[in-house]
Amino acid sequence: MDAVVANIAPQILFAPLLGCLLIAFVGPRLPRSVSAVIGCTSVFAAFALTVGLAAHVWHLPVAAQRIDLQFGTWALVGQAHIGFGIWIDPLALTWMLVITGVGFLIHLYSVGYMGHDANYRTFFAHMNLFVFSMLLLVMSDGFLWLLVGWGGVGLASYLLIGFYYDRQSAVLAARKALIMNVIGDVGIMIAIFLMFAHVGDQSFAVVFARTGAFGTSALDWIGIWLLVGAVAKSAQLPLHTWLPDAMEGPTPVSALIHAATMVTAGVYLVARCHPIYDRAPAAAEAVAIVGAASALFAATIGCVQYDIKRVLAYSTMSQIGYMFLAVGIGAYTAGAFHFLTHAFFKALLFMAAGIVIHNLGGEQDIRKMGGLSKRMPFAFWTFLAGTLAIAGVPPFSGFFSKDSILDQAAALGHPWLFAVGVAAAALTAFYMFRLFFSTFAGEYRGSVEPHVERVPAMEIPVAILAVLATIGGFLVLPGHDTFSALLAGAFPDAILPLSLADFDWPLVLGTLMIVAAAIVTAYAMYVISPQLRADVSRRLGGLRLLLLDAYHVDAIYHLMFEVPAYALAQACGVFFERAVIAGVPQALAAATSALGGLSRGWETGYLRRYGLTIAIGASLLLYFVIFGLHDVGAR
Amino acid sequence: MQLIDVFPLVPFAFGLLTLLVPRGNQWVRILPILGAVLTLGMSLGFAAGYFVLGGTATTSSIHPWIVGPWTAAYHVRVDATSIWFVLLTTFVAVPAIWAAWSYGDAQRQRGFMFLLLTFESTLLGLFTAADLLVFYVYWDLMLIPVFVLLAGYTGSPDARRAAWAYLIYNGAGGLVLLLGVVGLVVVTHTFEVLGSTFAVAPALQWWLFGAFAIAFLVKTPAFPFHAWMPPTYTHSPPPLVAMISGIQSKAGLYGFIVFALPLFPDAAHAWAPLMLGIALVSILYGAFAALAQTDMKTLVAYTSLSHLGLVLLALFAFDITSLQASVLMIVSHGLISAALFIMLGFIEERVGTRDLFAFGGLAAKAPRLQALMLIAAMALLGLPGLSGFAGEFLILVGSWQTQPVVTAISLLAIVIASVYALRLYQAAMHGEYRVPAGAPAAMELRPRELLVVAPLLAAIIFFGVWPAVVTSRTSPPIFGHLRSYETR
Amino acid sequence: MPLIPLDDYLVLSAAMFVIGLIGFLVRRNPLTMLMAVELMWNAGNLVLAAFARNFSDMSGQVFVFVVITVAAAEAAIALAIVVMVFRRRPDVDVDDISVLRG
Repeated sequence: MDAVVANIAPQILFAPLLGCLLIAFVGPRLPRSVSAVIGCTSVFAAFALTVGLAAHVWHLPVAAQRIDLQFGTWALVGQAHIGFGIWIDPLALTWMLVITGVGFLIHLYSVGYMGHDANYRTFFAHMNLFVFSMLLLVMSDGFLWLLVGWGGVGLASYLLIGFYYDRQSAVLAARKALIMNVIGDVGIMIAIFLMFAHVGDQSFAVVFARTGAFGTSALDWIGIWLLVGAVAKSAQLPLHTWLPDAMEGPTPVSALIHAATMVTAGVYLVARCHPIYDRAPAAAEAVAIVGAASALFAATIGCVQYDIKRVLAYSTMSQIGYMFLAVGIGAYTAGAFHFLTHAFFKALLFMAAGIVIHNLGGEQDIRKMGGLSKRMPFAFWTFLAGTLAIAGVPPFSGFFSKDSILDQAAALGHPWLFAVGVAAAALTAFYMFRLFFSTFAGEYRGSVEPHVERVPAMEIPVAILAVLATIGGFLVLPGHDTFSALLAGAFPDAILPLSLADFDWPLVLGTLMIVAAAIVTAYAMYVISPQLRADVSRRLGGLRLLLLDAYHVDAIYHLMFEVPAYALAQACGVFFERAVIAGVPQALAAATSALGGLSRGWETGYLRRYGLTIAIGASLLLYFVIFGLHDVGAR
Repeated sequence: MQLIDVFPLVPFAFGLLTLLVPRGNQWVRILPILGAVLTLGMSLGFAAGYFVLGGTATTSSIHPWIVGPWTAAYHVRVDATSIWFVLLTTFVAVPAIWAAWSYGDAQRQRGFMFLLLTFESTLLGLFTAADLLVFYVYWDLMLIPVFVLLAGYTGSPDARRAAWAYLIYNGAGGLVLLLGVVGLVVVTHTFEVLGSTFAVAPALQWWLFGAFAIAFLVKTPAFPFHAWMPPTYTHSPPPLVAMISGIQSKAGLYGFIVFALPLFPDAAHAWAPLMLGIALVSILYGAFAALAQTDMKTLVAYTSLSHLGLVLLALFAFDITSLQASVLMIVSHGLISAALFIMLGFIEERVGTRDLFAFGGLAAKAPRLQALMLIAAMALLGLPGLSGFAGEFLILVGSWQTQPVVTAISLLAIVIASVYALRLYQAAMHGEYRVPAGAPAAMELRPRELLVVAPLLAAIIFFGVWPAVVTSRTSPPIFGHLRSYETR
Repeated sequence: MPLIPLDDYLVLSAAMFVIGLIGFLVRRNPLTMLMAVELMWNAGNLVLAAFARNFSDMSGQVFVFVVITVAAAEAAIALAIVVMVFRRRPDVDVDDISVLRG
């Protein structure tokens, strides 16, 4: 056991939890700024410790970079031992760095963004709970505690989506998110049950070491059920509908949870389970197909939405689709790399959008924006950096990570996935620049004059992220793949080559030209010629409406699941309860009293009739005693 | 005479003392709590004694009672299984009785407290009884305090009807159990049946197990026998329903674990398909029925059906992991439902209604109440990290190994659970703040109420984070039972 | 002294019983009905005593005393009830008090 890791890792995990508890129990007695300080400090402490830990682990030899710390027993049942342990390797460290680093920046941003909110303390308590749960998810050394973290981030996400709980839409969005996540939890539970059925354990160490004991079919099933969990958490098809609604939450929440970290947990899960997916070709293929389909699906929807945060939400879904595509084809480092750059540029985009929304007094409709480049130059420049990064324009970070994925798809022999990826890339460039031009170019279309307020607590984190989104891609340069080298310790037994550095230049240039064409189209439609835009809208007509309603998926799900479920609930809980469960005993009681009614006629209350009855009865009895029953029968 | 001989009667004694206190005196409130806390302390002592020293004269005592062709003894004990039921009882009784400070007017509070304490005594008697006759006596005695509390201390006609439903169903169940007990004793000639094996003819076993099972299923209750449960849970005063659903509903499951399964292993296997069917239907039916309710107490009542169906699944999956986890699930469900019912009582007291559509948005006025409700609702939903999840998960891990299809179907209930738990929590706490006219302005929990519920919620978190406390300490007797199945 | 044959006692007893029965069934005055009941009772007593004498077994006669005692107690209670009823409604007819209600 590595003493440094054993000392530092638990502190990283518990710093945010301690912050959360302090804010919850001590916070209400102190000034509200203290809660913010506790929240930010605890996450920063976790970040600083993670940096230290990362420096330590990356100085170890590659073979020693995977560290499994055992702390105790969660449950000992039957022959199964379920422990609590921490698993540190470069993959976990990558996620931990982003969770604590970007998490800290977003905490800092929230100090300004949430400054006027009445539930300021609650907000920080929930954010810290989220950071803790997310760290638990990526640091766990087994599926059980991964699932605990998985549920914890689901809870935090639920709480923060429903943060404005007096708004009915927020309440419903939060409920939807949690229910969909529970579906995912069940998927992971089934995967764990299958692991227990085959190797009687759930720890990464045992399960991954004994993948040979499963057989391909079982591994495929485990992979599929894990994918169900991943799909629900990462808002991929077909469990994606909660993510756009989740934008009901405050913008920092969207940036941290629903863009940078939590929604990438699915990618983490697949990458973490690479020993399973490497040997489960069907499941891995399913991951890649789901990812590619989601990338394209979300990108098409993003082209027509008007809510700035919803566009970003669909773009998140689309970008995570890329990551799924990457990890599905076995390009784990490419997926992780895109996660890293996406965390930078998507958090940046959300936070810059947050500044715009903040200054416009909560307005999120891009039809009421426009011309903000002069009014909010800071937001303009930072949003531009983010847009260039996500569109994949060199030398911004998104270019390198997206291109690694497309390169790998082509190199590993997945031409269709590659084609879908390129199409999605073009759409991404188009809708992001549509969003950018609608917001910042042209004339201001809103009715209320923006009230521009420059808050350093908000601008500093955005500026830092803008820098990272710009230069973050340089971890992978042609011929110098620093990122894969860093991650090598996490994939010691990966089957496929990991290097992202061999750029396939014809493909890269071709993709770049398509992206450039998309950007030019967006410029033409949204800056030069509103007439062109109107024409295109009219041409597309029905398709546009279909996309505006996100392919009617919500309505379909409502009809397919909600309506039957509530009908069944009524059938059980109201109809069957009354008719059968309560009805049958009541019918029995009624039958009994009806039987009583038959004999009740005898009880007249007339004394002399009772006497007569007795006399007749006695006479008959006497008769039978004297002459016997058999005589009666014989006659 | 050992301490354990009188241990079940301690709450009853305090109940009698309470009756002697002049009406309206503050000791009417203090004495019952003292009694409950003292009983809790004693049960903790027995637990410590048992787990440190093993079974000793302190934790088991036997006095001959009836000598003759049918022997019976006053035989009380705690062992690794029953101690968890005893601890659950004493632990839940304290908040329930403390919560009862708010119920029953000053005129009748003595009787209310007396009956609650009597109820606790009968439950403790049931869980410590090692003799079948003693067990049976407590099984039926249990009905009296509940019936009187429900019929006499609520004043509503609905509650009186519920009391009759409760009495008739459970009384009938008791009669069937009596048939089973007599049928068994005719063969064994003794009521001292624990820990021994008897050669009961398979055909007779089948009938006897059926008799025991019907009584236990009525008490739990499980699917077609649950007609008494929704009205009883809905119309009982919160302290009573916390004890009924938190503790008494476990009596039937306890009966299965301690008596029916080990006594009739062959018949248990023969009945298993039907029992699994009942379990599965209870799980799903309870979940869907809960979804349709608008009365918050009725909603939680149906969730009980669903969750205890899962325990039934665990018992009849015949897997070691499931059996061990079933005790955890029982403890966990007791804590969760007691906490929920007590808190729903607080809410009803404030807003004056149980209708989920008649109020909402309490979070704005009562952040603490909201936080506590959140924990309870999440535990109900099975959020990983809380005790409800630990129990469910471990049961399902085990039952998947032997009954994958039934387990897979029952997983649907987890998804439905998230829907009804959120419906309950969000309807009460979220949305615009609105309460019926005439509700008081102060919605926040008072310090006493906070302290009443906090231990339950703390235990829910504790057992969720560290379920090994229970699962590692229930192993010996349950393993024994399973071995008797496996050797067959 | 010539013994009166058993049959004579039985015929007398039967006659007494039938008279009592008819009296009970046709009269409406509770007092008269009570007297009719006493008549039936004594018909039974007569049979008991006659058989006891016939078989020289005294337990039959002992039983007669028991019956007389019980009959006395019964008559006392019945009379008390009848008196109570008379207090409430002077012209009493058993058919009018067919409901157990004060």
